[in-house]
Amino acid sequence: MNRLLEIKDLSVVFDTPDGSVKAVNNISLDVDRGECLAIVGESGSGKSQTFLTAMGLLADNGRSAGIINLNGSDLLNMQRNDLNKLRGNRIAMIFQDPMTALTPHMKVGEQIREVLDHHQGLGKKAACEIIREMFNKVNIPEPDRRMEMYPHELSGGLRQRVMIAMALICKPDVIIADEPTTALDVTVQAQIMDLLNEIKTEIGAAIILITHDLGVVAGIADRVAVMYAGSIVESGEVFDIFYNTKHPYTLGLLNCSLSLEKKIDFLEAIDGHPPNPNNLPNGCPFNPRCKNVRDICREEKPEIKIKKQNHSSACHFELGVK
Amino acid sequence: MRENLLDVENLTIKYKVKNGNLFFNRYREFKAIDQVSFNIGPSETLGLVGESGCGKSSLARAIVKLVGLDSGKVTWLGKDWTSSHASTDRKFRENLQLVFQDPLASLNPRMTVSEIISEPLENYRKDLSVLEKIELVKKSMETVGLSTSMINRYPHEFSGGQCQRIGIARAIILKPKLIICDEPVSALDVSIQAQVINLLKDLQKRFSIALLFISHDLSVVKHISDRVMVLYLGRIMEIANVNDLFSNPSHPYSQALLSAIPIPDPIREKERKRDNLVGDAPSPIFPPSGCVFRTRCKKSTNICSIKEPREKIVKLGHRVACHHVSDEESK
Repeated sequence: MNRLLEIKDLSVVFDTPDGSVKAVNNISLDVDRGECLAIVGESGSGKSQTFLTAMGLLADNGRSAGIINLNGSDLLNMQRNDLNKLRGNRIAMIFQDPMTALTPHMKVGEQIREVLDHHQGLGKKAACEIIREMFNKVNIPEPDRRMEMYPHELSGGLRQRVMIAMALICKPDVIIADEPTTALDVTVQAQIMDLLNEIKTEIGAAIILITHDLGVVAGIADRVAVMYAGSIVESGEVFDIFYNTKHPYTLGLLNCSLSLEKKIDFLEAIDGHPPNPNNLPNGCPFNPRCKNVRDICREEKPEIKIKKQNHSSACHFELGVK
Repeated sequence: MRENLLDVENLTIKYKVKNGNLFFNRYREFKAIDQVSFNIGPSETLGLVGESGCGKSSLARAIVKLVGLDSGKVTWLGKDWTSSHASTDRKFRENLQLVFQDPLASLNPRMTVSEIISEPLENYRKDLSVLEKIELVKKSMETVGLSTSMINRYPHEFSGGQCQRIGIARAIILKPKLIICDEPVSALDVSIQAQVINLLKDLQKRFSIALLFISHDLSVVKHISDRVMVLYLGRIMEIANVNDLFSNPSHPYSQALLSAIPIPDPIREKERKRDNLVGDAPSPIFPPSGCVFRTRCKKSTNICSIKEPREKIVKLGHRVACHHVSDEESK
């Protein structure tokens, strides 16, 4: 098997003045080479924290437990020096807001050259050659001129392309894209999604796409994991998730996402709002908002169970069976 | 003929930007909104879509006179609103309310919910007693689905969706005729977004309020609007009934926008052929000559760079600004 990244029983806890808050709750995930795994969830569901932990970017008050295995090396218990050899080299991240992720007082070419210098010790000339090639690959026009520009001189779409170029420059095995298109206009979003699709097939890297937009997921993902209140509630192949949904939360998300093709008078919204991780409800975290809720849901938290080959869900009931 | 609530004719807004060097201050004017005309009828929803920087919010601000306009005419409830003096503006504004994008930033953090929602009453219904005001606030809160027990809390104690409900409660308390919603759902999670859209649709039906619904998300706009206006670099590209625009988009830009929207359905999405636009929108400070869209347009020809297209009427209520539209029809 080409299992590249494996996360097992990962928990993340933050110590806050109001006590400790469990942001991620015993989750397990894996990605293979050339595969795109989409992590779907609303804000506060723990989807970003999971992968910030994998990158060693957890905030100071956070504690993590579990195993994160990248191609045989344990990312969680690694010395900082060793981790720095992997980050940006074997595992790279594309952030949501390129304006805050890029350094404002460095030319973009220089910022990317830093990565090449750190990991491969390349000189200026050789590095520029590679950057030029990469800029061409991610469709940045006039690469030589753009390299000499500062982030604020670029448009949002170009900045995101620079971020992608920076993530790809060392040809990493795993690319984590945290809401890469949320800050962009739809027309630019379509361009970036096409680019990510190309990267997936061309470079053969594993892409982990963190998003809340099910339309984006449908276009690129091979497998999907849906997160709610720090736990994975459903995971499986993209077709199973969309057409053979097992968890009521996933179904709710699908029902309330708007599409150009649906014309309905009233959206089937999910009532209520996501729970405060400080104060999770007893039993199933989704029970206060679930339409099929029964007594057992308020008492016992459902474990994530395999319902069908490669398709698991954390619900006491089969969807549709009363 | 029906009486329009709001008539906007040839509205133009210019902004000045600094365009000099270290030693000379020069200013350059650019048009954020150029010759835009449209109207809104009673209890109608007009969707306004466009990419960032196309002037959507400037247009909304000009309608409520938060920014001055350079030329054009805005008629509100049959009266000329452009030349009216600031002292009489107050009376006009009673029927015109706003809901903003960032739910938390649009609420004063040092005011309680009750103070926030009752503020329009302090301005326009000074005859009411304190108790009557509280009664109205409570009613308004119930209408938008907030528990009245939270009346004395502060905005930071609420989630994003609840804050947006507070903003809506404030907007409807005077029973306005028109609410301008500037990206009211783009900061919210999907499940909350659906709740707020349902709420807006429901309120509109119950109180027959007209909405000017600004969004960059075409699927949201399609769901809520009766008519849709597509804006690009401050110019109207196309304006039409929602069904006409989505089933038969005439302007190349509308077509590209529609094809860029992802469909939450993996089979359809993977089969579909996308017709992506190239590049980004040009800066409104240096717009292209002729048709502003020509730099990204696949149909662009010589005439597009020479002459700015005038709006053509494809059918009743469906206007398009493109040189190539009538050509196609005569074929």
